[in-house]
Order: sequence, then structure tokens, then C-alpha cells
Amino acid sequence: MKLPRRAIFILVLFVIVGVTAFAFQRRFRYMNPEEDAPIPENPTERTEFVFARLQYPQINIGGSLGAPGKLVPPTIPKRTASS
Amino acid sequence: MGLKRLSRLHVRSMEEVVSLDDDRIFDYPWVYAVEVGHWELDDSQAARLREYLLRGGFLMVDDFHGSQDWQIFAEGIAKVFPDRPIVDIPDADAINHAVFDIEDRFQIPGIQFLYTGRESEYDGYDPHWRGVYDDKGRMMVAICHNSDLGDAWEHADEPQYPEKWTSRAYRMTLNYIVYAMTH
Repeated sequence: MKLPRRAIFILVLFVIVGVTAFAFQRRFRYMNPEEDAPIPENPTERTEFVFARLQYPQINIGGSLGAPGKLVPPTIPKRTASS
Repeated sequence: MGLKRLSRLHVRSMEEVVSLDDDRIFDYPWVYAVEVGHWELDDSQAARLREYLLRGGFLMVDDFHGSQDWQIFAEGIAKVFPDRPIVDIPDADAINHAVFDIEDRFQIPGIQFLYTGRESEYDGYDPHWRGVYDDKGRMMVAICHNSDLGDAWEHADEPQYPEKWTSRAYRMTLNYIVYAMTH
């Protein structure tokens, strides 16, 4: 079957636009700057007060493959109590 | 880090992360928990949190929004204190006057406001400032429902995040800390 010239033109145009659009896609960036927050200098210095953030198991709403929730709350800095 | 910079509290620049399964929680008089609309405490963790609070500990919970988050949080706190009600904190309560006199309490949205334009999340349109008290009237749990003070602290230097929310969040938190240390 021979495609009409107009159909070929539309198809080629569609491919060019599609490829161009994909080529210039930027990586999706969720605004979550705390993920990259630097650890402050001297984070274990001796001070009068030290406060704590509670780590607790998370409920599994909707389920992720039926796995029980056991996640650190998402805005916790990348550092554990033992470090 | 914000407390260290913006207040005269001699406080470490970074908090410790503690688990309810860890006895070290008793080393910390003031504990913050975020997004407690997702927590799920088992019986031993609830008992541990009850012991911590009755022995003088203080818990601030924050950044949970709407009726579903509230239901999940309330189920957890009911495990901790089946016999104690969650009550609205009266304007005249000492916690609202420990350092700053704060009576006109308003909603403090999280950073999501900058990209959604919405001050509330889910159906959490109205802020609720609630607490759980011990037998002597000391507040043990300060509950910030439908607000996100943690984001307001964290984004204090974000030019687009309104200053009024950050400054209010720090003032409220300083009240909560000083109250906890003096009651």
C-alpha cells in the first residue's frame, strides 16, 4: 500500500516534533530542598540543650506490595542517631 | 540550626533522631514528630511514649493535614493515652505566653504554598492548636494540626516564603520549648 504524500509529511512532522520535545525535556525536579540540606558544622557540639526528632513506623495506606510501613519521616536529615 | 541562630537558646545545631524502641529517648526532654498523620505505633511503642511523657517529656507534633491524617494520629495517641482527651489549647494557657504572648493563632502553611498557592492541604482548612495534659495540668503533647511549622522554620531564608509564617512559627516553638523546660 502506498501512503499519500500528505500522510507521510504529517507522520514525519509528528516524529520530528516528538523527538525534539523529548530531547529538551528537563529532569522533573520536585521542590524538596531539605533532601540536599548540608549538615551543619559541628553537629554534635556540647550544648545546654539537645532536642530530638521522633522516628516512628509509618502506616501503610494503600499498600506498597503489602509491605509493612517502616519508614523514617521524609524530612529527616540524612544522619542517624548513632553517627 | 534556626533556633541556634535566631534565639539565645544554647542548643545544638542539629537534632538527634530517636526511636521509641530506643531508651535514649529519655535523654531528650523535647521531641518533635513530623507528619504524624502517617504514624502507626504498636503497643510497646505506645507504652514507651506514654512513659516518656508521664516522666516529664514533651512531644510536639506537626505537619499533618485534614481529617484522614487526624484520624490516624488520634488513633495513635489513643493507644498512648486511652484515658486522656485531646483538647483545644485555650488562648490563656501558659504555653501561649511562655515567652511571647500569642493569642491570634493562624494557619501556618508549608512550602507547598509556593507552588500550589493553597494555604491548606487536603480538607485541613482550619488550623487546630491542641494538646494532651497530665493530671497536674502540664501539657505533654502539643498538636499543630493543619499547619506546618517545620516548613516555616526550614524555609526561613526562602525569599518567597512569607516572613509572617516563619516568625510566628519560631515564636510559637520558642514558647513550646520554654514551656516544656519550665513546667
